[in-house]
Amino acid sequence: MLLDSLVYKNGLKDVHPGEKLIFALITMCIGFIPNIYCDGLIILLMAAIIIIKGEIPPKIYLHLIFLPLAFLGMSILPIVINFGASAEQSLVHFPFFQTTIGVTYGGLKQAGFLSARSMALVSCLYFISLTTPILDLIALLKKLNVPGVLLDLMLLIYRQLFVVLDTAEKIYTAQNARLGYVNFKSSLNSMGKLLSYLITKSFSDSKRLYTALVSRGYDGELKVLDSNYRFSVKNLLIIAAIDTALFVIALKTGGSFK
Amino acid sequence: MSQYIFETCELEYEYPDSTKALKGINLAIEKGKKTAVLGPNGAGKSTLFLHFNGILKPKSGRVLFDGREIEYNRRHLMELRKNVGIVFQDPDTQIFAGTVFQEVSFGPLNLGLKDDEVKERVEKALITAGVYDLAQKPTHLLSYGQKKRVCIAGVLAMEPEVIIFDEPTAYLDPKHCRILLESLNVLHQSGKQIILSTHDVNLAYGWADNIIIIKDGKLLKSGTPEEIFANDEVLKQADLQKPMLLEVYEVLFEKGLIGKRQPKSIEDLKYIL
Repeated sequence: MLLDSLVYKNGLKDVHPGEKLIFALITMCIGFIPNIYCDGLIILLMAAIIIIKGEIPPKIYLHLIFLPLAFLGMSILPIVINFGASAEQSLVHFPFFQTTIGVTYGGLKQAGFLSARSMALVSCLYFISLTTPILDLIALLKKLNVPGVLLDLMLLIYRQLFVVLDTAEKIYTAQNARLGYVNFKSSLNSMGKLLSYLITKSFSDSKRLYTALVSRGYDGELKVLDSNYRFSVKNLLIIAAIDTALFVIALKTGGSFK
Repeated sequence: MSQYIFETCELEYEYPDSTKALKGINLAIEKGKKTAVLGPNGAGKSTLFLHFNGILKPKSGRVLFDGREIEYNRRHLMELRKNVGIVFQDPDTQIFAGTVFQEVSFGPLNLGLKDDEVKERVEKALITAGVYDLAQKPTHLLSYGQKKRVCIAGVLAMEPEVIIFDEPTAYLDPKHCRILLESLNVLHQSGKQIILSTHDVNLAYGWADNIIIIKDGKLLKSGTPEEIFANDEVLKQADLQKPMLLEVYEVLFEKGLIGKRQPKSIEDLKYIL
């Protein structure tokens, strides 16, 4: 929720969402070229843009960047740890039944390349999600002719998410104030009641929302007017320059694995 | 052209769970008069309002808008909803869109207007409702009072003749209450018909030209505030208290300290004294 409000205040909010999406997608494609220097550059570049231009607090961005690292750590374990490696290939190794188990230099190197590439791609995704409000993305999808039913659903779910969370929070506070969560048993009981109440409440609220929509002439399609963004030539040129530079670096510096 | 904006004739309504919400209401709301509907919770105020905009169809009886009986086909309903807007009590069950601008653009778009005209109307409505600077804000980051005003803008943008407010002052702090009442008066002066429901007798007494009291799905009494609040029997039946100002006035009148003219506001009272 904090993130959501940060996104609405970010410094790149008024930039055309299409430009941001193009930038992120092209940079992601470049990130697929195996080149560790380029990956590192993308990570730093995205961090710089998000923090300096997007005005997202560095502390929060660091925190966000560490989230996927936990998953990454677990998934590179099998790459780092190898069986049957000889002593001169390995950083550490132990005998393991008939064979050996250890961390090889090759495995480490491969893991490093893989992590750099994953983090570069994750940075691009963070760029999109931290600088583009969801509603702008939905508006963009509408321009790309995504079916209206899907977009209506996205819009309603996004909006109702906050309404439901808000209600849940209020009920939780009310229950907590009457010692609803003093021990494990009462917590389970209270949580169950909270959830069942949320369902019935959501149901009656949806009826009311429908009534309110009908009274404003709803006829099966949620028509809303999106704000108009204009493509800026300057931004497009900057994007082209950055991505060309990255592309050249990716091809010429040759920091690939093999 | 009729003298009355709305008339109901033996209007009955029963909800699908067979609760009888309206039990034969006969009433008429005069054109151009600020009208307040009073009555305890569950009296049928909201149900009545939903009939005015064609959302609910009477079980029996008739509803007349501007002298013509409401017809329940698509074309007529669309026309009716264009002319009669309802601002519901809880903004959270009314706002569906992400940004304020989107939310307010919903109604006019449904009227089939061109984008440019919609934009113009949205901006005008946002200014009138005092939320122009919030246009690009996401709706879930608004305060309660702001949401309420966005709902009003959403209805204003459709430029209806009649705006019905279902308990507009509920949960509002005194400051926002005052702002809301001021904007209601501005709307009234610009020629809109305003109908509201409330529990606040002081508000009804000071603001309304006409008062309608509903109890148990029936009309108890309608008339000017002076008539209604002078009738102790009706007030007792409807569990309503006398407005404080009127109470003070009556005491002063008994003691011979004030003339026949009843004050409608504190300023009024001070002026008379």
